[in-house]
Amino acid sequence: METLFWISVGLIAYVYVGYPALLELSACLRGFGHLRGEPFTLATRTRRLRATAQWPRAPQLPGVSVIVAARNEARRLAARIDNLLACDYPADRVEIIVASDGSTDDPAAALAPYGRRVRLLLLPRAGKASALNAAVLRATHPIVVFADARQQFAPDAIRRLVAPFADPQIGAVSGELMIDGTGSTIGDGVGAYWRYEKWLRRREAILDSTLGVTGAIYAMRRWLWQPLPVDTLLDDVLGPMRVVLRGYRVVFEPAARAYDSAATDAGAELRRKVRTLAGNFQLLAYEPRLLVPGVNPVWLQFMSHKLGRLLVPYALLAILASSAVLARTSGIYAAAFGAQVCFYGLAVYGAWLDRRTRVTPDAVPEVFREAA
Amino acid sequence: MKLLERAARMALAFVLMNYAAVAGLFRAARGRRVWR
Repeated sequence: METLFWISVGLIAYVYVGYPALLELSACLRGFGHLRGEPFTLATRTRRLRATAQWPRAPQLPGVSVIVAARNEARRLAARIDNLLACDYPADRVEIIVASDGSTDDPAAALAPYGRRVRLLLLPRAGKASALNAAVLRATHPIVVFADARQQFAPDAIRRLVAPFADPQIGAVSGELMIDGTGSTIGDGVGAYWRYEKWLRRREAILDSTLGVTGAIYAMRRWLWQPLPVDTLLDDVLGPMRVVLRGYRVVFEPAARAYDSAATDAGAELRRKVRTLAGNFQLLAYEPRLLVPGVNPVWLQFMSHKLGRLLVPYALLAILASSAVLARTSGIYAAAFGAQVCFYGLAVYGAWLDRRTRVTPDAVPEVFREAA
Repeated sequence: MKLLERAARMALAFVLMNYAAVAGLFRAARGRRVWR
């Protein structure tokens, strides 16, 4: 029982402390190319991590196909298209494709004012992955940018997002999603988790590639796109990981920003997380090569970040059970058990607060509501 | 009090995140549609 306790503690410590520390150290030592070779001090460490990567300057901006996959988002489409058209990217180098996945709210009417500036694909309801496959098939430019209907891009987001493609080794680029937690009952927790995720992604990208991208804002070379299985849950992880498996890098460009609000309650957030984590298991079924060192160029990162995170809940249960059994034998286990009781009690209080201040269903984004 | 409430929400988010991994495994194993 003691062995179970300490192995579980070790696993959680590695996932949440050891691996980030390893990443931090590796990223500090490597840094971005233009800052390599400087003597390593705390000051240069900060500069290396904060510096925006300097990508080679492309002779001209590449053509971009922006794909917005949506279902029953007609009320948001006008604002979304206005936002995309307001981006500071040359209009003659951008095409906008809206892939409507079986919408019943007349997206054609919502997009009619935009005429030929927007291509609308009216598709039978088959899921987001099918909509993306259909849209990429019809895209004509070498870079495809993926966006959702709900978020808004910063004016320079597309330009920033495609800049890394001047490096031929870059296969996909993730932008940064800025979440406004105001109006959310668990915004603090979601925001902290998201900041932690971005911290990891930034360092993983410095070393080689991020494990997945931000679904609300990412770009990929069109020729690297492989049609997704129709029931794919995480297009923003499976697609980029296939890019990595083909030997190209997937990087994180924090200067390319999209904005969203985390106006969601605990129940909606839970459904979203269940979908995400079910998607991680599905990912292993579709791409078991990810588990093979040497085949997956980011094997250690994948095992530590993705797989480790899937194992943590079982380790938490093991710690709770083993410390309960061992509490009478030693003060350490008794203290560990007491700390866990306090922590879970705090979470129950958080659930009560969430119930008390639950947001209205209308504030919960469509994809979250449908995730049940 | 604000600090306590914030800590409670952070704790809830952590618990939900981990519970979701277990629920996600069951849903994936049962092949249940979890999106669209």
